[in-house]
Amino acid sequence: MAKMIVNVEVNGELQELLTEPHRTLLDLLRDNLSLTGTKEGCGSGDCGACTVLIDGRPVNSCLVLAPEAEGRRVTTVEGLAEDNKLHPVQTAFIEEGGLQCGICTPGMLISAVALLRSNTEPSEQSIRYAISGNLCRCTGYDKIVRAIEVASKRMKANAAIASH
Amino acid sequence: MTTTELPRTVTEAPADKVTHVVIGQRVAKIEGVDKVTGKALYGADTSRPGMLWGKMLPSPHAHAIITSIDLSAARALPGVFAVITGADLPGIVARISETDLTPEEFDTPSRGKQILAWKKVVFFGQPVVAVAAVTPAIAEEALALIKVVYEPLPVVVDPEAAMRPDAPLVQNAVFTETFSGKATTPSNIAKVTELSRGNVDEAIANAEVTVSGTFRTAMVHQGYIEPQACLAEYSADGRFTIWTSTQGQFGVRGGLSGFLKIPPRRIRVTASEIGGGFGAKGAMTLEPICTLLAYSAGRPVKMQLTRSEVLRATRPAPDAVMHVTLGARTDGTLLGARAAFIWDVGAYPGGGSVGGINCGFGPYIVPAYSYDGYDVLTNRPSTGAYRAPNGPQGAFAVESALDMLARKLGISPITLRLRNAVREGDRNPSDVPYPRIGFRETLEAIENHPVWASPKATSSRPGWLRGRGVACGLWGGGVGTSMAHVNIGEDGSAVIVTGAVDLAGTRTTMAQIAAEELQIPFERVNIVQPDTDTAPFNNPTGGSRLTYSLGTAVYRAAIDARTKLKQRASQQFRCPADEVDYRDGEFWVRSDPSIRLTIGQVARSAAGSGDGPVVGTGEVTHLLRAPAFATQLVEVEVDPETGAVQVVNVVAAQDVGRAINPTACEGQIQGGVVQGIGWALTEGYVYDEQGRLRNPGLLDYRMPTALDAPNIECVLVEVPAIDGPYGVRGVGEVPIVPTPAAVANAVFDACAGRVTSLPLCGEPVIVAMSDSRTGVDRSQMVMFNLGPIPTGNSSAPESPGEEPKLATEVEDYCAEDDVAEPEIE
Amino acid sequence: MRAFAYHAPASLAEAVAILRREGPGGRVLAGGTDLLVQMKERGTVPRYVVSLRAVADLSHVTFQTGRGLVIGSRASLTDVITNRDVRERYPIIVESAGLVGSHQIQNLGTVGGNICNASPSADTAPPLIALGAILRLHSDQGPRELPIAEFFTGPGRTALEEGEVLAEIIVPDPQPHSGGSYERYTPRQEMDIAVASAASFVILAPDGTVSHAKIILGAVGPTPLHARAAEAMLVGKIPSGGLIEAAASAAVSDARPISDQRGSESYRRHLINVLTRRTLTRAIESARG
Repeated sequence: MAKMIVNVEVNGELQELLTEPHRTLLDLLRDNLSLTGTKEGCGSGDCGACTVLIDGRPVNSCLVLAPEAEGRRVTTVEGLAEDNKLHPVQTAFIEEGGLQCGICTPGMLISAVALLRSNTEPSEQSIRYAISGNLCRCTGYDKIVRAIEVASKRMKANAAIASH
Repeated sequence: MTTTELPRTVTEAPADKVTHVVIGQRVAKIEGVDKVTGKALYGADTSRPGMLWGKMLPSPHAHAIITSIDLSAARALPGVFAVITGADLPGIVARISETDLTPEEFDTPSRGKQILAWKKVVFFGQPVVAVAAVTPAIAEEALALIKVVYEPLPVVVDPEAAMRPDAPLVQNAVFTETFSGKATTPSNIAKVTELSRGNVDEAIANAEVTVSGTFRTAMVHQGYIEPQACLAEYSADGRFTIWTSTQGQFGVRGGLSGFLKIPPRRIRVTASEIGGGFGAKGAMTLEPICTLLAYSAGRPVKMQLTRSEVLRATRPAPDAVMHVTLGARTDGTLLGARAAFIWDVGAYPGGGSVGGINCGFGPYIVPAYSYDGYDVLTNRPSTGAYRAPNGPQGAFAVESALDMLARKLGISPITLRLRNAVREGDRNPSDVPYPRIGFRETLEAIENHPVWASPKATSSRPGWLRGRGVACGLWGGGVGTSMAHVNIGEDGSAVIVTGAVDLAGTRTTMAQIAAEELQIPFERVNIVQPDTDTAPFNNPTGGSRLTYSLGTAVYRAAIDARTKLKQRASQQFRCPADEVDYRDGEFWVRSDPSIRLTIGQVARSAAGSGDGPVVGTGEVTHLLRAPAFATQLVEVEVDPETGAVQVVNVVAAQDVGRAINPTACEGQIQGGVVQGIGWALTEGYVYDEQGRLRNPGLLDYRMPTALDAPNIECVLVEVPAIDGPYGVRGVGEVPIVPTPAAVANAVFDACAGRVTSLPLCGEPVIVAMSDSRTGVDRSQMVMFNLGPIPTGNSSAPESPGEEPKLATEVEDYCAEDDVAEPEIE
Repeated sequence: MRAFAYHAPASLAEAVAILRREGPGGRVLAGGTDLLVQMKERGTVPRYVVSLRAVADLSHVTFQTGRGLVIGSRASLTDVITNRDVRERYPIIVESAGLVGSHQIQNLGTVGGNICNASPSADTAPPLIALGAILRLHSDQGPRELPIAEFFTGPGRTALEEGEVLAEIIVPDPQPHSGGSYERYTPRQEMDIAVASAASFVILAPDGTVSHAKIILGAVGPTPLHARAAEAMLVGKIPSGGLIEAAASAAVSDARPISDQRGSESYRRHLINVLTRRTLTRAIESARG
């Protein structure tokens, strides 16, 4: 089958990737770029483990054909920390026990970051709604919700300090 | 979330001092950064140069004879390097092991042997052919080119139907096993378990009140988010290297050693980070076939199951049909109990009975009982362990019946349970006495909890009904062999080396134990779990055994290291070791405390002098079991028009013995409760009459989302276990046990409908409400006549209780089909 | 996934030309959230895929009085849900589109795809039928318009002809004194698929009688179904609790459910009664303002 080039920005870096059209964005990330932080849990958009941001919106990368990513901006879990400094959501997940086995964590973090970009003071219900496309089988979600609450408060406080 | 914690026995250090009292602290997960940055490597995350991709062809039939398989087109496809069928297995294993094998050895009713179907398929989705190719797409293309001719056979997917004498035989060579021996004609009833005490007929006849019911649960899946994945490589020196997502790399080594008939030294297994196991990854799934593909292809092979393969063809938890009768006095004192539990263990023998009985009835003193268990074969995937294997099913039946009894007697469900609760010295159904336990304490914690004490709230949603239910659970505790090394670094740090797999946080608790005993800050302790060539032996993680057993090994290793450090310090002080004191990272001579050496100074000097560097070792084989009990209070809201049920609040009290890390304990409890909610409300396999699974995806196999999960308040009760460090008990299994029953009891409280089958959300609630209005009692349906079943003498109970068959030696593994009885931490 | 050819034309004209040239065995790709699942899980890999990703003029969601709401077939569910006009004027569309899949799915998936996939349980179909939406379909013969009510012909089957592409969904202007409501039953709160669903849409005459009623049932037949007996019962009458109950019972007889892994036939009938009553009640309340 004919191969093709896909140009895509991944975590701020432009990539020119050789692929076949029947592969997915998830395959590109994991196999072409060795960005294995993004996980495959179901392959059908039902678990959210493969969640990445495309142009700032969370999507299931297992349902995006590789060539459909042409010209898009993709953020994966590997792109959340900046300059070796963890994103506040990442820190909160560690501190609050918001992860156990960790397989859902990359997708969960992406959904949480997307939420906090659009809603700086989410209610518990809106947090639960925002992560309802990300299945977790270990934590029962409680500590994940707390972690996102803590992160939102901390980000708000940081923003307040920065604006002074 | 709030957490009620009972007073601790260890005083926490004052804030102005570097704390060395790390037990009981909410320290952050030691591998947290790797997991939040995507660096942690799971089963599918490792690759090798020249790697191929393996895939398997699933059977489209639940029961059929394989008439022929045409592989020619698949073999001819460019990029295909290996194609293997069941019939090829003996030949390949014979080549690998250089032994003579009879094909019959693989033609046995053993899932562990029949990694590919051979001669006939016995469940829908059973792998029939495996291929390895340069890309996943070519492997799929190859599968599509394979032509298999099947001759369909009659299918049985209902365990009660499978017990009938005229039912289609799932396996031709399974003979009913009882305590007294084996039957001589094949049967779908693989095993009969009978436990009894006293004269139960008389006890129930004399009871002032009786309740009885038939309770059903669906086949459910563990639901780990990471599908099984494995990478295998063969080297010309005859060695295999395996990277796999497993609950025990030594279990895989032992299992492969047995399967391939080669010594363990030819196998090196690295356990990847594991994306959830819950028992399922205690058994091997992909490892044998992946290994054979790699050997046949001469290239490394990676395999990852798809989600539909995970649901169709791994090892879910058995569904059960449970008949229960209880007899009691009017004050609630139980006099007798009779039960027959039928377990649908799927297409191969294994799993089943005794655990469900011991979990269900184990919490209560029953003077006279007769408990029968039947492991029944059907054309469904063979079943396996799922968090407290078979406990939730047994507890659903028993705890529902107790709720019925409490209502009939008009007494509080907690009072009823307190009246009959076992104490230290009482015996479980398998006649094993309990050591010190904290069951009553969990009941009292719920009874005294503000939620229980306050009047029931009304629903915030118009028309919805609110209800409250209570149920209890027991897990007998896991034990097994563990070993750990503690390497002391020249900066006074410590690295724990262990061969055990951390499922969900034990690395952190192990580091806490080492830090505590070495009296160094938690931050100075690290832990690694390298491959089987490097790490000390450990049994697989499961049965809530790890913190208890590995914790003991680490505890002993840390003390050993401390003792050796003291010895090294005494060499430097030039005084006898018993004159050296140690506290908080410093050594000194008792007679002159001004001369001091830090642990780092001692380690540095020792590295090049005296007796040399310091490595502490600790090992443990079998400790006394430390049973864990839980009592849960569940509040639900029910839409009486649609039957929708939402769990809105849970208070979960559990005897954890000693909470080494309360955050980790709560996380285990909350996770178990939400799995229990899924089991209760929405999860369940649906088969059609041809035995095809109708919901092999996560859209229709409905695990709870964040919106389906309630707030869960954990009450950590600490009644120390008598063995193991600090009184700790295993935490992981028991929280799932009470939940399904507590949900069903809460639904009854809300809408007066007694739901006796799971999952219950929706139609079952509507039916139960209608039955209660019209007086229909479906729970009283009579069990059909089982016909003659060879039964044995029930006076010789099996190995005690929820004995996990954790193999402790390589020889044991070689004798087993799989690695140890899978369990979970 | 097995291999296929991939085309990403830059215009609708080019897209339909490719479909004509390549012939049968192709699939049009919008969001892909249904198509990729079918390709992966059912092994129904098309010979070729025509992606609409590069077709610029298909992602719009616009409202203009007199021309109604126009949803381009490439507009994501999120584009529709977050559109201010849709939120103000067509809350029933927001209600239903917001139920499809997760946020991740809504960011990829499209209303057009939800319609063309033609699942009997598609959440956006009953409200769009109830609102009288029109589909604009394109082929190399040019455009044609088709009422969405005539679009569904069976599970996964539609009136789309070989070489035809859905370009736009057009929803008529909101009517005064109208109201609509959609509700489905699912065992889970989110990430689930309807066991049964109902959309009700009514317009009230100045005298308070029902002048127009549409009740569309989802997941209880091979396609979304009109509850015609129930609709007929309402028109010309002043809505009352009793009338709503009667209409809900009548809707049950219009349902043609089957038993499957999501629910039994009898339970689905039971749900249709409840959901019709609830959605009708809310639609009438909202029409009364």
